[in-house]
Amino acid sequence: MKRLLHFLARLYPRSWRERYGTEFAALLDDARPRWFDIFDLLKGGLAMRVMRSRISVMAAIFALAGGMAALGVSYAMPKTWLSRAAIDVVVLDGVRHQDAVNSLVGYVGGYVLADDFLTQLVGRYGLYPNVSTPVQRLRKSVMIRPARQNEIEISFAYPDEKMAKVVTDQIVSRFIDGNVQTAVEDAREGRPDLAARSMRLMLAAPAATALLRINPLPAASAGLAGGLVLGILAGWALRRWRAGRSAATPRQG
Amino acid sequence: MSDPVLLVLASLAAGDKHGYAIMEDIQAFAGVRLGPGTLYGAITRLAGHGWIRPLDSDDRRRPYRLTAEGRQHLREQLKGLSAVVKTGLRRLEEA
Repeated sequence: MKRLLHFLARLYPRSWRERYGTEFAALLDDARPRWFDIFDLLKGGLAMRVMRSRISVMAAIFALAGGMAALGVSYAMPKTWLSRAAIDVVVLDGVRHQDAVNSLVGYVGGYVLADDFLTQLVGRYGLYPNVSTPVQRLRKSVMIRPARQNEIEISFAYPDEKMAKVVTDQIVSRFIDGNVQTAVEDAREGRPDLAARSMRLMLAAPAATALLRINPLPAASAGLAGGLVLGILAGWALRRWRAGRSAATPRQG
Repeated sequence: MSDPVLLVLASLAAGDKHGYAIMEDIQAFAGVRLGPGTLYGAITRLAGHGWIRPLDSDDRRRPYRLTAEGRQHLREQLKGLSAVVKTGLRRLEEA
């Protein structure tokens, strides 16, 4: 055990060992070794290396740590499945697709995301069993947006693959139904036609589902780059701090 | 109190000591066993600040002495801690 501790003492920087090495070795010989000392020496050696290192070494250490942390986070993220469906919007001649699509997203989108329908979905499929406000959570996880010129994209993210697809299909059906319902209501109540809503035809493809997660390689690269910048800044700050300290309180002994 | 820097200063306030003697003394008066890496991390910082200084020794065990600046620093830190302790105890009694 003592032999191992003496070996680990070599992790300390050479300049530190030249100054403290002999007395440190004497302490290791005198003290009763404990298993915790292994960790203590590893931590102390690393800290001393960081404290005494040049900017390039600091940058390398931070970059490595950043890359590894990002890689860890990308694998530790809980699985989420993203189900996507596209609705093609066909309008009569003379009506701009873009107008119709934008109008639909705002108007029918509101109909789809109304509390009654979302509450129904939560109850029917038992969504978000551990969340106190599942309807709000469901609303946040659904996205309805214009995609291409004549296309509306509906997507829903959920931890269960099958449920993500089922719910997305339900939302698409509701959207198509909402298109008709709102047009009928508008006609009945004499509201002006919004972007020729009464002249639309919608075609929807079944939802496709994919695992949503942070791609490990770009994540590690980003972590590496972030760590590098942070390391350079930390090394620079440390150098300034050391310079200030040695000017204020010259070393003794 | 578990701050190694303060523990080492408090130990040296009683007289010059080398590393192992500091470790034993801290264990005796604070019930804390500092690992060798932690102890020498604190010694390195304290010597860097000029709050302790090494003494000449024929032995491998180098003793350290508290400097006047170190004594002053320790006094200030302990006063601060004492205020926290007094306030904490008073509030506990009031509650």
